[in-house]
Amino acid sequence: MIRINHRPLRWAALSVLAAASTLFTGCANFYVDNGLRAADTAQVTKPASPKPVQLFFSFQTKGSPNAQATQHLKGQVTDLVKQSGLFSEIKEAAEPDAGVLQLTINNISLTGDEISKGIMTGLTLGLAGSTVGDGYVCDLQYKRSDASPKIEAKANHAIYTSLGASSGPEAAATKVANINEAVTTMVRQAVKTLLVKLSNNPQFQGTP
Amino acid sequence: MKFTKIILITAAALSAVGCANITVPTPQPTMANVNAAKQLPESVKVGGFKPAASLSPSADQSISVRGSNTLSAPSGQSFSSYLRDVLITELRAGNKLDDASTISITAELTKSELEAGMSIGTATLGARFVVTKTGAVCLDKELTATAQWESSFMAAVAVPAAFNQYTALFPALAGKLLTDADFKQRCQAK
Repeated sequence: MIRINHRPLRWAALSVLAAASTLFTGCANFYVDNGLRAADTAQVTKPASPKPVQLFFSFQTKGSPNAQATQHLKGQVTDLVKQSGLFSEIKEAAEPDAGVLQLTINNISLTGDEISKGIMTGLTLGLAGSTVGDGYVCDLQYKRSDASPKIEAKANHAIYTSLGASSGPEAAATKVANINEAVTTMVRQAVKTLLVKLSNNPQFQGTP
Repeated sequence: MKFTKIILITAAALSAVGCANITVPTPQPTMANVNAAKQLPESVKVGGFKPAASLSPSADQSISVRGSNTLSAPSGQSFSSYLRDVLITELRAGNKLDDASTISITAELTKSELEAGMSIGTATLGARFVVTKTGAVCLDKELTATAQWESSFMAAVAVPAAFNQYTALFPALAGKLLTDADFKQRCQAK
């Protein structure tokens, strides 16, 4: 137990610790870019006769597979594909009658200097606020069979994190409660955008 | 002086909280490896995987970078058995896993290395695969998967990147076997 008998110094120490505690626990605000917000109300065009599909999902960080994030998000992605109604069933193993759907979300830096911005915010105990952006490049590839043409769709999304005394992102974005809500919102809007694009592709609707 | 102590203790506590100790995730099938498996003419079964005599038992259980930041094999398992699970996951998803097959794959984990340097990170995973067909060895070959990436001075950036890169070597090494020309020619030709 450390005791500080000098009153001004004790208050200074407590202030620093309180500020540090706030900085490390609750001073970050999260925003989801509004660019794909329309996906939440968009409707997929369901095929007349949905086919089974084998689903592959990969979350990447700067192009490298991120197995931890993949495991964390695969359930949500699988549910979104199931709920879309585009496929009759999601198969675990390859089968002759099943198509192959690959969904990839690649996390890239939008600003490139997150570390230095974060350090500056930390060193000034939040007075020098900063906002950094994480980009998500989302890809869909679908093949009805080995002989079928590959159908592709792309979408880009972003999450912004504000630290300290920052006014938030310059881009149009919606504030969310925490990082988990930011990620699940980003995944939901990105995957749904890709599935809507797939469903609107004439090749998808026309493939027997 | 006491104020300085408080700050130092706080800093030390915050540093300690930041140490990572995580477990490799459940294997997920990868499209490239499943496609490779689908192209195999014959289904296979997967036998035992174990660490090579040259690999220390602790290296088969966990791997550390930047001090006490540790990536561990799943509870009660080892990295060699994790490699087996990864291969089984890929083969099952490709519909090429058959416990009654006459082709059997076994392996010894020979290399497990991870470095998260200040600017460059490197990782290596190696295994000696022994494949038998109707009891006769058709392949005895060491395969290696490596990775090199831009690391960081900041442990908060370098450690997760190192763990991601190392974990990705398991499906990469399984893919090396599934696409190995000798494996396909000697063990898969009907």
